[in-house]
Amino acid sequence: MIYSIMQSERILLMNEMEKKFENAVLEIRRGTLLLCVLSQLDKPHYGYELVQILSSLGMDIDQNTLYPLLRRLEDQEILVSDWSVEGSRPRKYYSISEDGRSLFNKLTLEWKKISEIVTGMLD
Amino acid sequence: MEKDFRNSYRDAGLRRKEYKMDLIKRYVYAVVKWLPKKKRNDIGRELESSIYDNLEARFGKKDEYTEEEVSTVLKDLGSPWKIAIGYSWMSDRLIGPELLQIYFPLTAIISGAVALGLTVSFIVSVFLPDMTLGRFLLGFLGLIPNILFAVATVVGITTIIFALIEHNVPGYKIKPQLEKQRKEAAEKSNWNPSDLPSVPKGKQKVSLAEPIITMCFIIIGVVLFNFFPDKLGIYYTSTWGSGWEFVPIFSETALRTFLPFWNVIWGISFVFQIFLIVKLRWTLSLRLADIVISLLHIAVLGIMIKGPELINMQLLLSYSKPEVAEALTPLAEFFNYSIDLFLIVGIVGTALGIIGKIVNIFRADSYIEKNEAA
Repeated sequence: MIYSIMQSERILLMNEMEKKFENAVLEIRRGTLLLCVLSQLDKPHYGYELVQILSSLGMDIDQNTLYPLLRRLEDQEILVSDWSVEGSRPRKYYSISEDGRSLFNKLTLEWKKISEIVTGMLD
Repeated sequence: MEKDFRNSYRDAGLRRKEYKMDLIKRYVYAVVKWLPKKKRNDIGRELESSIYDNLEARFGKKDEYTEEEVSTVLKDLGSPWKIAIGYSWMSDRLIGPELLQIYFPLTAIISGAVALGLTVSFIVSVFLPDMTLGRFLLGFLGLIPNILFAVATVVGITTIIFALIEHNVPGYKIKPQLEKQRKEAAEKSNWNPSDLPSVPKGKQKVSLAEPIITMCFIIIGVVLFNFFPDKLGIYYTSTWGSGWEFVPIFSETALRTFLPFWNVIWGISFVFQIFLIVKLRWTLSLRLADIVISLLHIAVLGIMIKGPELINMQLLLSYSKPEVAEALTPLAEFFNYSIDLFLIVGIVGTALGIIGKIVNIFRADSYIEKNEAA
């Protein structure tokens, strides 16, 4: 009886650790998301297409995360957008703005620095 | 699922294809209704377009997707509240869109009531015996600045309160509706696209103006009849500038008898208007409540017919200045004799209104309201 209670508590603890791990991973990914998105927006893409591109490059991102992010970047004038009716239906195409580009270049340098430092610590 | 569909089909008179399109529209509406008005159209179009992208990727390019296919994609995307929360940074303002739905009407009501109150009290003061031209001008010139000052104070205080609520000051944490919806959906564990309420349109939509105006009138009625019954009567002047005569004509017994009933009706109507503002659409329960309130109106009008006479002719006849009493007698008599007629017309009018309200319930476009009421 007591053993089984301890056992179930262990399972609970395990689940909690797993959750913490998942949250930490999410946080790391969230930090890199902006770089990933900006890196792919030299050419204009629409939301769903960008999800597919990022996914094919190994970065799975939820649509519910990406669409609001694109909006926010547009609001911050990092991205510009344009409705296009080239396909079967109107789609909103996003691409990087000039301000966005210089931000992206600076961020890329910063990312390389951080990545070097962290890798150095982990080795 | 299939059964749900058939019901909506029958009630709405929608064709099958329209229903599926409608499902997507309902979904998109359920998302964008939480977002700032200016952004709704653009985000809605983008979301709709990406839903079709998902459908295409999942089930291939088609002219038409089955209801099950649409439901599958919508379920994968997640509940509309989940999506709306993704955009909640947009509401990272002093007061977010959920609270704005209450903030605007409430501020408007209080400001309107304050402005009206100040105006009414000025008008009342004009008829007071100690009124002089100087005081009149002073009061008149001061009225607008007074109103502006009072309204600014009201807006300031409500804004601070709402900002505190929005930013969850510890101890003042009031869960926004979004959070509530999400929790409810989580408890039900599987969110179902067919639960989506319809996009309000036509007869379902409620404009803000109507409930706000109604509430202002209720406030005036409550204040006048509860606090200043002695100021109600006929204000009479034979020639402008010769001073005002105030002649009470309402019977005190009648007012005392009817006032509790009026207060109940006013109170219920006021609460009802609040619900109307919060929902901003006619749901089945609101329509039923509206009918019940109309029935109460009829009951009170009936009580007024059977109860004591509202106008007390004695008050007028025994007025200190006979010439004033004489001048006013025809008017008072007219009211006195026709008041029962007015009451009966009121009852018939309200009854006709109830029939209209019942008809509205069975109107085709109320089909989804059933889901809401259940």
